[in-house]
Amino acid sequence: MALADLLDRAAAGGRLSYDEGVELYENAPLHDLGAAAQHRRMSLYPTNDVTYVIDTTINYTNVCNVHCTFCAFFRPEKHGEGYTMSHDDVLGRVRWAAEQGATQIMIQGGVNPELRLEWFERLFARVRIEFPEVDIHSLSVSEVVGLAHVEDMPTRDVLVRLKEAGMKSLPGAGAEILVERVRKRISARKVKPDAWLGVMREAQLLGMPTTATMMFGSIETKAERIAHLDAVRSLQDETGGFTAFIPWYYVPFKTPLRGKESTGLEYLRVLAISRLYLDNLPHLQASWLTPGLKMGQLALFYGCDDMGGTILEERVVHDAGSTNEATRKQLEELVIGAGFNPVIRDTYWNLRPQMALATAS
Amino acid sequence: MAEVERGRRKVIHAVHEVNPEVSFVTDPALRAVENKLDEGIPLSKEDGVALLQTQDLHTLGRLAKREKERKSGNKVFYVLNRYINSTNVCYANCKFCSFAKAEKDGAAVRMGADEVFAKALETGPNFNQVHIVGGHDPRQLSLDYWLPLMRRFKEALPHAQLSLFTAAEIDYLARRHRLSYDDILVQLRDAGLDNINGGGAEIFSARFRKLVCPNKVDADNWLKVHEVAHRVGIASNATMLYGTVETLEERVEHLIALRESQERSPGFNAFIPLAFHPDGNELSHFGWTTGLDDIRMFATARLMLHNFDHIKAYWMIQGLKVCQVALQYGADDMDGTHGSTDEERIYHSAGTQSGQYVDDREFRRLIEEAGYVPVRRNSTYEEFAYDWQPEEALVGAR
Repeated sequence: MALADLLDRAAAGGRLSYDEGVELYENAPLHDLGAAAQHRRMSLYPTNDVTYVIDTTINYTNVCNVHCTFCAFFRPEKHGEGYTMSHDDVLGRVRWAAEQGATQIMIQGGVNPELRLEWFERLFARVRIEFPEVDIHSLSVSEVVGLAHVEDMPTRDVLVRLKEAGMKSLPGAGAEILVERVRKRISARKVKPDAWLGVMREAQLLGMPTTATMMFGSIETKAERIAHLDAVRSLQDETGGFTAFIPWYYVPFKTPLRGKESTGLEYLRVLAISRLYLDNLPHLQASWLTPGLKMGQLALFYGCDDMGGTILEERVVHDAGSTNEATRKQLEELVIGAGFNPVIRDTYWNLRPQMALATAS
Repeated sequence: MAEVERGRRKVIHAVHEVNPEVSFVTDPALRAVENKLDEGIPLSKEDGVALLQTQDLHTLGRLAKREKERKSGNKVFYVLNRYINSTNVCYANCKFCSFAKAEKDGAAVRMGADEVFAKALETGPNFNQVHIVGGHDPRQLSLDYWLPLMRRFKEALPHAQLSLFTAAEIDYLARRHRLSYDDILVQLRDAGLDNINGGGAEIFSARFRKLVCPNKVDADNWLKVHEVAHRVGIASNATMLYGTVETLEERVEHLIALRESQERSPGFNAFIPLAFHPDGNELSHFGWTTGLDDIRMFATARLMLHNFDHIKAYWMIQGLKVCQVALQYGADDMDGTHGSTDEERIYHSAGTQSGQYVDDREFRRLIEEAGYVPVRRNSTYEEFAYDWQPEEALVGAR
């Protein structure tokens, strides 16, 4: 089938097969791919709104026993530079973020076997009681699996207890590339693709929505990126539990894996093919943190309808050598400058029009 | 299970709420532009302003890419060069500048001729261009400093073209030595000047220059320096500093003035859009240009400047990521590697996040990924094999 026909079908929301996805991703000219993705995005959200959430990431520990080669953040157990925050420390950071208007708290860290499930239950319960207005969108699949090991209980039971403690949803981290060959090279000790999808399925069926990420640009092939999209799309067909897809690229500086940083053009192509291939995912997020605000703005023309979070505090990506920071005002100005309307949302895409825009003052 | 239903309904709601009325975002102004391009009619000021405002980024990209390929086919150029700011002493007091210092300022840097020469050779002699610009320095910016230094470069490194000064510096030199542009440019040419850098153009509008850079060469004389240079056999480039007090009309008028000048006295090789950088100067409140500003600027320049062969996406200015994307929006040149020990100070003092040096292998990777063939060049776009090296005898000259 001709590229133009595939683009037309995908732009209209039709489904691409795996082979068709690879074909488009590898061969479609940039502007055709971008225009089709943008058409699809504008059809889904004809209002010109671009959403973002005020959030913070609290990296409560950098101790980790998974040792991924693409990571510059973690320290192995007993390392002198390892840290774990106290509950009071975490709560202090939540308070500070809530004062800045944050509605989403991402408590994420390494897989630290010293921390029991009960540690998280007490922490989340305190957050829920002291800051009922913030949503706990926390812990990646890796951390849930780590807790299941520590407690010797099924992951579903871990999720049930975390949910009871106040955790409402999971970020899509730790997906990297959901292809066995790639994970063996970059995250050999992390959960296998099926296990990652399995925990996401359990969470979604328990009523905890999740996002999905893709870390591209390490050692995977282009076809393996499409295989990743395919895995996410299949689970979404089954559960409908993914709210958004967030591709971001590997930051190679200071990591054992090393390699080259992905490029501006590659980032835009990944966004466009993600929007077209994931016909059943509601939202596509621009990850301006690593590619920078300039690329984050261009992303709005390649299928993205959301600028993600303000990320008031974040350490993992910064430790890998990324230096971009953005204030709400900067984010909103980029959105306005691109001809869209910035709108504040919460984690579950409920719009929060009563919250004042930073550019309004 | 109610919660499952809620999650599911959210998704189904989003996916099925498709508005069949929404077409690809198309801008009718671009259709008119496309017709003119097909018929070889130069674009008007109104066309240029429409291009700088369009939301139809993909049609803009298609048109600019097509024009780029008409000019330079599948080639994208870069140069192995050395970049030196020989002095930052300057009393022009341009408001966008974070680089200029008074002579007595502790941060003033004024290199002797030996120092400039040594700096150029610090990482070896394998380069095809020496790019030097400085301030309006009442001591250094003088023929008795420059002519001997230029001859020395030419003798030791005949393979390296001299890309020196901006028209602002040439104008200063001419006034200082009480010489006409013709006389001074002939002297500089005879000493080995191959190319004049494109800086100092800023925005040509008299309103802009009065507000922002009243002590710098005016627009007519900037253009005159380049036109005379072209007539005596010196090539040059042209720039525009965008992102401060100028209007979109003033940007487009600037491009039209350049294209008319190129008709009168051809010799411009490349146009280089320079994005304003806000750190440490009087115009900081304008902030950084955005990715969209940058991309539209590249594409508009490509489409307006029908008689310019090259549009340069200079990595140090908009950043490597945006500059690579620019290769799909009309640009066909990534400028120079700079030497690994060079220290560019004009944009670095104004806050650029770019480093000081890009390996030519990185240029080649980015260009190939954009679907083009990387071509090593010199200032006047003579082509070199990527592994070309100067002969042994010349290396000995250092």
